[in-house]
Amino acid sequence: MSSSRHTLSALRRYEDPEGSFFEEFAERRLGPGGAFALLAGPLQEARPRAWAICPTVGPEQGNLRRLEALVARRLAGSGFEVVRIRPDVDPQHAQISLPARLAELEEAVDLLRSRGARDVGLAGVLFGGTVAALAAERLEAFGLALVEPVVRGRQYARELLRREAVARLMGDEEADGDGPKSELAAAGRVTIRGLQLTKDAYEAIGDVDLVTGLHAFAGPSLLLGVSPSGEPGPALAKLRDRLLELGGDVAVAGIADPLYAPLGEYYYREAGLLRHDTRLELDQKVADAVAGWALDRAAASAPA
Amino acid sequence: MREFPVFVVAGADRVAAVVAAPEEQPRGVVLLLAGTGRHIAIGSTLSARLSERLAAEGLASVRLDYAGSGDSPGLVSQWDPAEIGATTAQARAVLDVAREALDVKAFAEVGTCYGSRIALSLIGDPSCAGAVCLAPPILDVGGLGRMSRGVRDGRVGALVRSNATLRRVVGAPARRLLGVRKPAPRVVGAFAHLDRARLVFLYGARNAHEDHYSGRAQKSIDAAVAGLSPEERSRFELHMIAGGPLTTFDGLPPEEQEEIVDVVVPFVTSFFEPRN
Repeated sequence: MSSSRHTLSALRRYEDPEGSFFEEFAERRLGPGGAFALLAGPLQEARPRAWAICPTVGPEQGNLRRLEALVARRLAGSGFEVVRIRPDVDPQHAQISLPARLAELEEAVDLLRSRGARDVGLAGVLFGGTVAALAAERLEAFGLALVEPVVRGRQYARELLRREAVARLMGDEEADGDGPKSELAAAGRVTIRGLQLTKDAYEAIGDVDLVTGLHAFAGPSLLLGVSPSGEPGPALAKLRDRLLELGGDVAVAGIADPLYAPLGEYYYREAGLLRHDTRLELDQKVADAVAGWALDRAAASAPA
Repeated sequence: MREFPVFVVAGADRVAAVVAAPEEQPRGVVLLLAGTGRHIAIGSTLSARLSERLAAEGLASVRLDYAGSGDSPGLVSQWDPAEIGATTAQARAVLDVAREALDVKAFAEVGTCYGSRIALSLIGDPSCAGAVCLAPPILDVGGLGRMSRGVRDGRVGALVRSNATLRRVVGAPARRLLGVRKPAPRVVGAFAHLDRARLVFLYGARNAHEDHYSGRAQKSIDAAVAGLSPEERSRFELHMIAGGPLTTFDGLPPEEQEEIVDVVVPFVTSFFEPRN
């Protein structure tokens, strides 16, 4: 069996000379459930700054994997080492858990530092951005790149229940639209699109408020909004104000996209058995925007 | 169970995959092929769950993200179960890597929806002991149907959709005429290998149409099975599982997910020689 281990270990990494990056599954697993740590980095010497991409906690993480992969490859092609977190088979990965994700992120940052990163920035989409922001102070992140971060956890927690209720109504005519909420209240747990949500986890997410929850982060940050108009929403404006108040250097940008489905939702347009990807262009624009901003920041902080 | 995350080259593509193996020498490898929906784990949630259970049964497995999805590089704008040449090559490549590394020849497959088409296309391999297909699409849209899509998505289609009279006079009859569906050659062709391999089709009883099950699909299966010898026929089974749809496995409650895994695992293990 040792020869098979050797053969397969040699395939943990590949290099893309055209994109000037590599990707590699790290030996180390992350967090209490042992998530995969998927590294990406430049083929030349890496910049001293690295990035950790934090996935969201809810079922939408499956719809954001490709986007996170594109962001990682764009950053890697721009000279940054990047790690993204990939939940796997452990039963803990079937639970919606803010502490577990924070633990994974902490270990991901450790991994980058152990590989020589001087500074580590945190990135995330939707609630993944929220987790990144929450961890920024404790992990001494140098910067934040947040795509449509959830500013108020209560709203996100309610949305989880609503999403499950809608799915149940669509799948079963007799389903009760208030079912998930009642179930959570009565049983202390409910399944949200295949993931377990306990009352404690619901409350922990509901207690998150980035405007009041950030106290000391004063690094550079990118707040990227995605909407049909391209105008960042009011929640991003509040977060921007808070980050400015803390002394941060905040860039707010918007990407216009018709959004066939809201960001994080199932994004294929189905035509019989055919499935058209409606987010291909948007995902690339987001990846370009994040990598472009990271490069600008790196240039701005480079010694003259 | 030991897991080996890998990147595997397949022609011009490269895919992220996870090989899972029991502690002992495996008695076979199971190729796990997902549909094209959202998947939190590499491969899919179903594939990840199966990999654990199969390892406990002494079987290795390999699951993958198709190129352009999840963590595999590439960009794919459209997924069509009738066009699986590239993804079949990717599946074959990861399977070969796993078989070679683990020194195992015999393999079986579990495919869901789109993945079941790939599974059926590989069942002709003499080393394939069988395939379990969850929600396999039996029917393909024919040439006329494909043409109608082009029309529907174009300006003429937009005009018809925007006008109630045109919708009634032109749209409905055109849908009947052009929405022609016929048994997919790959599905029908797979029945030719029942002299050796076993084949199991599973559908969810809840909203079965979402699993591509219909009266027409059943009739096509019946027609394909009718020409088989009794021995060959005994190697094919079709089951409806309470709950589902199976195509939405990731979104089902854990207990329903477990029930589905409980149905799939015994079929797969029965394809291989029993453990010593």
